Amino acid sequence: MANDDKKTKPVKKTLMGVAPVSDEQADSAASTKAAKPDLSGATPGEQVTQAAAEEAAAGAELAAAKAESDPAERKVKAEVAAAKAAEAKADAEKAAANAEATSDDAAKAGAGMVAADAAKTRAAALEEAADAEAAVAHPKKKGATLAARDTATADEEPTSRPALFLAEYETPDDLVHAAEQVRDAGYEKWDCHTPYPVHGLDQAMGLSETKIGFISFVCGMVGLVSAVLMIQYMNNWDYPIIIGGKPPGSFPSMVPIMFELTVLLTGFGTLFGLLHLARLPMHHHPIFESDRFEAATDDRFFISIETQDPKFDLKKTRALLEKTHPSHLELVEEEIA
Amino acid sequence: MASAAPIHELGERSLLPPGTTFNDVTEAVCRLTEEKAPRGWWVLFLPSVALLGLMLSCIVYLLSMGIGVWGNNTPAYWAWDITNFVWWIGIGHAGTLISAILFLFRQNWRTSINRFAEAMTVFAVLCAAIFPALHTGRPWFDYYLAPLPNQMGIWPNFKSPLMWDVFAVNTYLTISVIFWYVGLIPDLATLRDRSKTLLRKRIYGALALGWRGSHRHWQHYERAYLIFAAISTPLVLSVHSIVSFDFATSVMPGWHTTIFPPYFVAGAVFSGFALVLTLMLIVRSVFKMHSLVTIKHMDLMNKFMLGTGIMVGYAYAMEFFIAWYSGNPYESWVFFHNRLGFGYLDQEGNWGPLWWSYWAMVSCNVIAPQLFWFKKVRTSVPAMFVITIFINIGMWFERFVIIVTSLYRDFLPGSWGSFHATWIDILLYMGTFGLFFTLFLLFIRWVPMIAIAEVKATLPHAHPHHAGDDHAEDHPAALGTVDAPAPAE
Amino acid sequence: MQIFPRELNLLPMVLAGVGTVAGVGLILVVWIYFSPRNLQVGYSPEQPVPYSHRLHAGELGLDCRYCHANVEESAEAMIPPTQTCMGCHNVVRTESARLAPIRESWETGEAMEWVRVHQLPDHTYFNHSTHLYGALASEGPNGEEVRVAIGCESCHGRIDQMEVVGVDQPIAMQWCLECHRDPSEHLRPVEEITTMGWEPSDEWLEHTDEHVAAVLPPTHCSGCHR
Repeated sequence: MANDDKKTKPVKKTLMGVAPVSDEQADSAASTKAAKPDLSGATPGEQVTQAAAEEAAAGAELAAAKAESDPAERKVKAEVAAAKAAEAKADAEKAAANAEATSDDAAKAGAGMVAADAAKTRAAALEEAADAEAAVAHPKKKGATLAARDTATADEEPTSRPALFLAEYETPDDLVHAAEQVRDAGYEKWDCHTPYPVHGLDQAMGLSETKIGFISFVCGMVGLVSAVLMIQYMNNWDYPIIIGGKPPGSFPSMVPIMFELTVLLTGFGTLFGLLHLARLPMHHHPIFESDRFEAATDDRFFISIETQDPKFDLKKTRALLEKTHPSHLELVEEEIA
Repeated sequence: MASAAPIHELGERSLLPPGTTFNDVTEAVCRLTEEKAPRGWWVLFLPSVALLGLMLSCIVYLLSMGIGVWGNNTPAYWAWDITNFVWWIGIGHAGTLISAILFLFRQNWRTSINRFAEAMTVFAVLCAAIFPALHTGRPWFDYYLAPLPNQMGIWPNFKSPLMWDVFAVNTYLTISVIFWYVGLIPDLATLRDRSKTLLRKRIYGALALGWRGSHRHWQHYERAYLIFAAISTPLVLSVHSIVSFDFATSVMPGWHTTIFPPYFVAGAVFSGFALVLTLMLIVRSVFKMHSLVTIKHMDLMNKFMLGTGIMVGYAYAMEFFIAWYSGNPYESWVFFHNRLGFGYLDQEGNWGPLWWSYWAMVSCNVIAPQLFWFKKVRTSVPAMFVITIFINIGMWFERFVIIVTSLYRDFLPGSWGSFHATWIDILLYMGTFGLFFTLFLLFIRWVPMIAIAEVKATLPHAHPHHAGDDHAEDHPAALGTVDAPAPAE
Repeated sequence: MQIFPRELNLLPMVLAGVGTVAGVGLILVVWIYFSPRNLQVGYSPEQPVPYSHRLHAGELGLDCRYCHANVEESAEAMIPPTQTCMGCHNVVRTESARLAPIRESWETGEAMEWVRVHQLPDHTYFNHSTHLYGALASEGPNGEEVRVAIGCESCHGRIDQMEVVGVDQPIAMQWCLECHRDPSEHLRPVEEITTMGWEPSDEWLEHTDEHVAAVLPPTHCSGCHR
């Protein structure tokens, strides 16, 4: 078996940390566009200057090398959008600066980083740009950062909305550290996704004890009592027959069935209790929109924070997650039904 | 957790080579279901399907003719059918033992073999259930065994050990399937996420129930798994105890024995481990899984077989002691004449005609596993393969001996006879191997046969080391080299 | 990659709903359709001769035992032979077209092929005579001997009102057991066994316990499955 896992992974995944201008990142970052109305009405349609976009395209040789037709298209789109947003140059510069600052950290962590927020004023101005593409920054030449942004405009209603932030980590240690920070920030509708149960994550997430044992116990007792009632009803009350000289309701002969039914109903209780507590089966979930998430059942560790969380805020949540040094961060969108 | 050092020594750590990454595990297991089947798989699968067809034909023939086509007749009313039933049920016990009991004892080396053994349990119990179902003579009335209201106004007799058996076996089958499936959910999600085609993604996705590795789910899941282990442990002990009650609550000399429950359970584990190992050796070489299932695993399993083999041998000896010590001539007759073959001769001065079955049992079950005292034998693949086959045969003979040699020369001269298997006895038994291996081979081809998530959780770097509590693995010394990697063959 | 539509998340609810409906439906189907009350009661096959029990047993007032002779003394109720029919019909309605098969049977000696209405399975041992012969209860109100038995109508219904004989009661084990557990309603003086529409007197009902004690029907397996 090869110890080098890179060998067996799809190219996309392998290059993840190096050249973040990838298809899915652009897609995911695009999700900043349509914020929920209750988020102060600000649509953080993030912008970048044309110059920045060009620099991004020119500088990111690695990215260009792997960028296929789609990213190239995006570049064009970005240019158009950027031209349209030329008046927002000052704001965008500010955003680029932000991006640089965050990406330094990220560079330290050896990972590419998503960065940059748009100024609120600018965002408000472009609120109608429902399809605004988001920004992707990546390290270039010893930590120098560029933010590449696509912006597109569309007149139609948005067909998707942000569903959750998805932060990816390489190791369980990173995940647990990050989980502690998210927990301390007071989020509720968030989760960790791991390929196997990571010990210590219960505390790191601040989860309370599971109630499944209670469900199992109750079901087991129902099984026990129903065994007694069943046997006494059938063999002692409804049709008492004396067999082998034993009294119809004798206790010892009930023991095996009492035991078996206790076990059987405990098993059913545990199975259905598990499915109920985990709200499974749930075959459709916005988190599956992310292609990167497929590694969650392999060797990557994820934190997701849902937009449904009362504390969720596109900017603040993003900043919080960036602080935890994810190897990748994206905003996952779901189709509006 | 809070694992003390001795438990480490017993094998809490995974037995995988150091440096194994999570992705290595995923790859190693999933590729078996993703690549083309190796030729060895087809070589095994096609004969299995043929045997399955044979089994179905035998069943159709038996149903059309009645169970008179079996060799059972006065005085051996129970013969191959019940022998096969008990044998298959016993085979199943290793699966639950490995998945539940070793889980409770935190024997993490089990993770490489538990899925495999659980599947074996399910399939073995299915094979077992065929025999009593047919032995009722009119299987279409088998629903009478269920406590359903009916126009006859009658209910099952819950004082009958056969009724206990129905409940025990069905509960065992149900719980084994649930336990197995719950364990499979995260691994099915892994397969889903690796699938290249939409159809494959959808099939595995549907079975994975939308599992997304959420820790909020894992939290319930882990506890649920613990509960399953906790209920399966007494369950597996109860199942074979209850199977032994079928015999022990009767008044037949040779059956009416209080040591039957522990004796049967030990025998079940013994035979189950043997078959797990037999199959594991085949599958391991067909699928080249030497890095996931190491010689160290085999070594531990062989020790189990040595232990349970000695228990079984003790039970054999004890039966003779009781027969002699009780002074009951009928008991002595069964053991010395019917089984052992000498000491009690019949009027013509002959041994009991089935003495050879007893000696086949003793040679296979008691003498053969003694070779496992030697580490060389325990770690030699050909040697253990041969010995496990012997054990499988010996355990079949054990049930045959218990059932038939207790019945074939009874109290009365009128119930003296012998038992001769008919060709349908033999073909049906062979046919159940077809059912077993067909299901089993489909399983190893389409389902992750090693518990991916569980194996990952046993890797040294699987859990964060920073947590404040004093985990043993905080000390680097406890980490890497607890179990030296097994040498690859 | 999203592989399932959002609607699939309703699956557990749908399954629970469908499962409940299907389960209840299955129970109802078995309970109602496959019950002896549905499948057995009302079975009244066409006979080779349209013999009317209503006419013979009802209007003409023939005793059951005129044709089903010895029913109190033998296990089987007995289907009357052609001779019994011809006892009357060689003088009554000798030209009736509907009686032609009887006359033919009489002339050729071939038995009539009556269609059996009540058929118990082979593993059930039913004996008419034990039900009809009468068990000796204690002495009656005037000191005379009282024998109690089961009347024909308890199992066969009002034969005297049936144009074509059919199954009246759900002949199944549960139904047998009900009477064997508590026969008090069905016991009557042995003299009245063939009476249709017999009503017990208050005086008779006062002695119910004695009557039941005299009968004591078995409810163990070998009572009927020998």
